[in-house]
Amino acid sequence: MAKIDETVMRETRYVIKVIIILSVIMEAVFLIVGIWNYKVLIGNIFGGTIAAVNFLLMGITVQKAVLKDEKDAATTMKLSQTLRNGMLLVGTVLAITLPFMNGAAAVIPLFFPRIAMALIPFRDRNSTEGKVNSNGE
Amino acid sequence: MELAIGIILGCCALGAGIAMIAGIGPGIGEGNAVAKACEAIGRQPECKGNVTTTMLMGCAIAETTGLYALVIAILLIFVAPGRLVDILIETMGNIK
Repeated sequence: MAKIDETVMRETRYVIKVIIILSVIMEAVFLIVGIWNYKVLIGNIFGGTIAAVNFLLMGITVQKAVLKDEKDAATTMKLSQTLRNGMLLVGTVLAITLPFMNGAAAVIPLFFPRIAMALIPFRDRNSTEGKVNSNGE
Repeated sequence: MELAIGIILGCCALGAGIAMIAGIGPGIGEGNAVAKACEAIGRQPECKGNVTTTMLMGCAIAETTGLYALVIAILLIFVAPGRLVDILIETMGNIK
């Protein structure tokens, strides 16, 4: 198995951190609304894991695809996207049909990586690299 | 009544299938993005890290569209038929 690139690992770690933070917030919201139970917790863990694995697999595919020529890279990415979509479909159907999981609590974490990406400019603003770039140097 | 329920179920399945057409877009978009990234890395190999980070951001954002479609399709298959049939039965009861 090929070694995972440091860039992919860094971004995956960041996405996992954001997923954990947002999951805690989601659990708190469920608790405040009064519909929290163990099903919400299991669904949240399941959905969060699928979201993180999906992002990691996407990163690994990107890492492999950039080493190929243009046409092969596009084909690899399309194939990966189809397979990952299938994985998400199976995961979501399981989350909705299994009686010990809350469907909503499993589906909502799938959107957390998107929120993590939207927060990247704020992360970069705090980093040294971000400061250098903002100075235009 | 059976015919109405059949039409509801059929339309929900059809709607779910149509919603999944949106799943094609992210695949094509990600493929094009990675192809262009390969070109960029070929031109400037020292920028590989930055290009990969930006591309991961782009791919994650592009993939959300497919996720929306997936969630809508699943709601149409698992949630909508039950609700719509309940509404139908309620309406028929009121008419009678």
